[in-house]
Amino acid sequence: MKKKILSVLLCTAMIASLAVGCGGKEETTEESNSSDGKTKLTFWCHENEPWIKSYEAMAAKYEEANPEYEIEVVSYPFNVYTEKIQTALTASTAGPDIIAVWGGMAPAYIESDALAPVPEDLAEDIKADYMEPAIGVYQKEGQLYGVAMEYNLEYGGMIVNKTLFDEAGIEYPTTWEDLRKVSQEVSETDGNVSVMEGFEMMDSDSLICNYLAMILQQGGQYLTEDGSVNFATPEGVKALEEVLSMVDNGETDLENLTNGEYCFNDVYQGKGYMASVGSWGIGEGEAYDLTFGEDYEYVPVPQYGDQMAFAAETGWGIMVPKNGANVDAAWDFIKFFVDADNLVEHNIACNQLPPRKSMLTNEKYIEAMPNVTFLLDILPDGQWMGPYNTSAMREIFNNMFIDLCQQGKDSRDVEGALTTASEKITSECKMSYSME
Amino acid sequence: MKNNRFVAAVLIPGFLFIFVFIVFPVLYGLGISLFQYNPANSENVFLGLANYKRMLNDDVFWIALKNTIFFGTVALILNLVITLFLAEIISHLPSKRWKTFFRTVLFIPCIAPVVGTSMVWKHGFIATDGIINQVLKFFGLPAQNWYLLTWPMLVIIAVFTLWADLGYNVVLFSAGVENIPKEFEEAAALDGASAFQRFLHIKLPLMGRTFVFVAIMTMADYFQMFTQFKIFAADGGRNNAAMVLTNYIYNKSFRDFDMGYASALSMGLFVVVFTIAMIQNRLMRIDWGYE
Amino acid sequence: MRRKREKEVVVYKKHHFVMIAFLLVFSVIMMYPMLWTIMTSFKTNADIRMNRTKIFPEKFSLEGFINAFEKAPIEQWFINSLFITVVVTILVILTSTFIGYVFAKYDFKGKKFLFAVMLATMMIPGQITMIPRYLLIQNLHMYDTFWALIIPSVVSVFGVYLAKQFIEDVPTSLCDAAKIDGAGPLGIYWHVILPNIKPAIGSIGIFTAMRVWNDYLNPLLMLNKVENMTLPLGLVMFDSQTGVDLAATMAVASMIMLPMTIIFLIFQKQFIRGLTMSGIK
Repeated sequence: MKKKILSVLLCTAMIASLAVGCGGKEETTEESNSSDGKTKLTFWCHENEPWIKSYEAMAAKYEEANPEYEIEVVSYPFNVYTEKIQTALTASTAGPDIIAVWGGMAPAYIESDALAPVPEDLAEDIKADYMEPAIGVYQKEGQLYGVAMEYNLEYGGMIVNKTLFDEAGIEYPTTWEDLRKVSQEVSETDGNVSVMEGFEMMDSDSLICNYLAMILQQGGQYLTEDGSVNFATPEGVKALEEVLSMVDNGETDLENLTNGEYCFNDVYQGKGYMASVGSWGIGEGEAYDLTFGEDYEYVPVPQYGDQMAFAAETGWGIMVPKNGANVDAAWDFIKFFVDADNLVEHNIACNQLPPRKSMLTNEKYIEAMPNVTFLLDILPDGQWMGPYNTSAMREIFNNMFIDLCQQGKDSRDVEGALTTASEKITSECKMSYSME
Repeated sequence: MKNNRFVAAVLIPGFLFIFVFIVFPVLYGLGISLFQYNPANSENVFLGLANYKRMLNDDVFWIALKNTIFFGTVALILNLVITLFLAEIISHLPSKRWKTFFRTVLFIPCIAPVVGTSMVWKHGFIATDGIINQVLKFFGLPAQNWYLLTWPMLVIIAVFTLWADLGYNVVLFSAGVENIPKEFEEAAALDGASAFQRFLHIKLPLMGRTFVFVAIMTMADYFQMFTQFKIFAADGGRNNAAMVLTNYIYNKSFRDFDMGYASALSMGLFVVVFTIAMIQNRLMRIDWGYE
Repeated sequence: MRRKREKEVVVYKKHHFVMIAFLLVFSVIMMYPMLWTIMTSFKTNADIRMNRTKIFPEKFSLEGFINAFEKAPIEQWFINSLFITVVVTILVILTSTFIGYVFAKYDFKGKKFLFAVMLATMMIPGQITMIPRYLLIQNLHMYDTFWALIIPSVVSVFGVYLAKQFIEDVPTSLCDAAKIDGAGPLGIYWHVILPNIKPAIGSIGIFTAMRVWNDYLNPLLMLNKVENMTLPLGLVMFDSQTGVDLAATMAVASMIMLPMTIIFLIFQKQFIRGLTMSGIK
């Protein structure tokens, strides 16, 4: 009997030692090459079906040209992705070799010194050919720490529910006045919740982008000369009052803003007529088994002011963590990825806009994406949103906006709220390092 | 018995574990709280007590502290009242079958992982086309976007928490109630005491030890609730109305990777929990037993 | 020894019916979310979009389950959860009873002090030490392995406390008798202590298993790769496409709730007894 107990104890001890052993082993296999002598690169991205497919296609294409490499695409849902990247950068051992990252999240990583800088030749190519908003956020002290895969534009286009428009016998609005009129006519509310929404732009991506465009289109500006933010200009107040009236009139509600969801989902679900979103939103209709052209379409958002202008953030890009085992190989893959001939395929597959000036006239792109060419025309009119952590900026702005909505038409002080928010954004969201 | 070698063979590894995974982390955390600490940085700046100063000036910390204490006490009291009441009613049922049936049914939500049930409540109840709004509609009230409101979110989370773990305490209290010798109650009934009086003056004091145990366990639990807060209102809800310390610590450390400050917050939570434990200790000393 | 159970004589009075009616209504409210979950997992997404609050699906559909299995390695998550739960539970039972045994039956210098120190650590909630524990696990190279969840949970102070309470009630004379028969400390543990504290073992086992199976925070901190996740963590990952595929989310949710519920219904007597034990002691 005693033996039995001893054996139990021994087993426990063995499990324990196995634990330590296994833990170590797993890490080492990850770092080293995979069994067939190929170097394995791990590519992290967020969960988005068409994008993942495109990454995988790009990986396959690269593997074909460079058979000594094997690229594994690993995806995480967006709402845990930030945390995952942070943890990976923190890890002392090798995590992913390549990370796809949203521009708004990038400063948090660039701020730490966990990233490998973009190699010089690639950096030169990018500085020469990329449009300003597509470089923006990836700079730190004159160095580039990431390469954008797209020109991110959350302004300019909207998903429209064709079925609803056809049933109501209405045309898509082409002027701003028209847009507001249609929006008011079709919308319906219950309490502070919309049952049917007209024109939607109240989600964390669209709200601020539309708002900034509305300031700029009036000839206004929100970035002052000393680099701080000021929304409390006459144009800024006028634009915000216009936006607030959409909620006051019940044309749209704040649900997507408070729940962190996207407006276009409502349109796809038949709960809204029009929703402002970047061209990437086109692909999302597939999740609802809808067909482009039949059930929904993507059309320009009517211009608010006299001149076309807007601000854009730096969009999704690729970074390389310094602690990766194959930093050089990772950059080689990225070089391959953002080469105009390859990148165009990715942009097409993901309904993205191209970041390179030289791609604005790319025939392959125009042929494949006839529905977004209207955006290509306005791309050169865009300015970069500025050296701010735009995720934090949004949070402050959106909170201010929700507060204003809840205060009601008569009791609110729009200018005061804009002043406070501007000051807060300037002091809290400005990047802690310089760009040049 | 005596056998120092055996004692040492068991206790040394045991205490080593406790030290490494429970005690040492507290000291480690205390250390980190003095730095501007992000493990992704190669250098971390020593700040001294700056993080603590920042904490005392941080509005969100005070809101979270207030919410934590509010949630911990209100939900605890409601939980104890409701579960005592249910346990008492169930104990009066004449058939053992009914008793077991109800205890089982009430216990089922406790078995399910909080993550799962939170998710269910989030999608089924709080959503704008969810059950709460349907109920409002039934009474002719306008629908609400619950994420826009402040304190109702905390209330919803409290109701959820009550729903999710009533069963535990019902079972525990049932055992306490059933353990009381019948003669006590019968004697009081002869004296003409009402059912409520009998419960308050006879049963409750007699099950004192169970009561204290349950109260302490539940309280400790409620001050550390994390999952439902993370799922219902990961960013703390509107104006941080549903922000509690655990969630704030998580956000600061694993979302913002501001681990130095988050460690200072942890120490803040530690002080709160410690104070509560001291108060409990006092309460424990009151002699409730009937032996 | 077993006495024949006398048949229960049940006398219902008026107030009993009121109580039963009240409890039935209460039970329906308590069970409603569960029912809704299971039913929703059998709806199609279009059906949910039409009206998510109604109970019964327009027509039963396995769409949610099929999508769930297609999109996520649920069976892997299940195995992970099961593995971690079983290993931790066994280890905690072993360490609790061993340490509890030493504290209950052996005399040594500083016993009171050591036990007090141990109990004091119960006041340190895991949430307070999550950052250092995370860093520690990173440094031990256990991050994103099951050991990150297993090793730190090996000793449960609460389990030790419970075991000690029960072991103290085992008559020392039994231990002495075994000792005279030539049993060593392990022999006594195996032949005398363990057989006499079965309810405590059950209780510790149930507590530990439920805690580990339902744990969300630790896996959230310590695991990374999708295939390493446990069910609760996986469910949250899965929920990312909120609203888009609610049927699948609810399918996963019901799959994570069911196994424990079934186990509970089968062993509910032991469950409830084990739970009660911990409360009375």
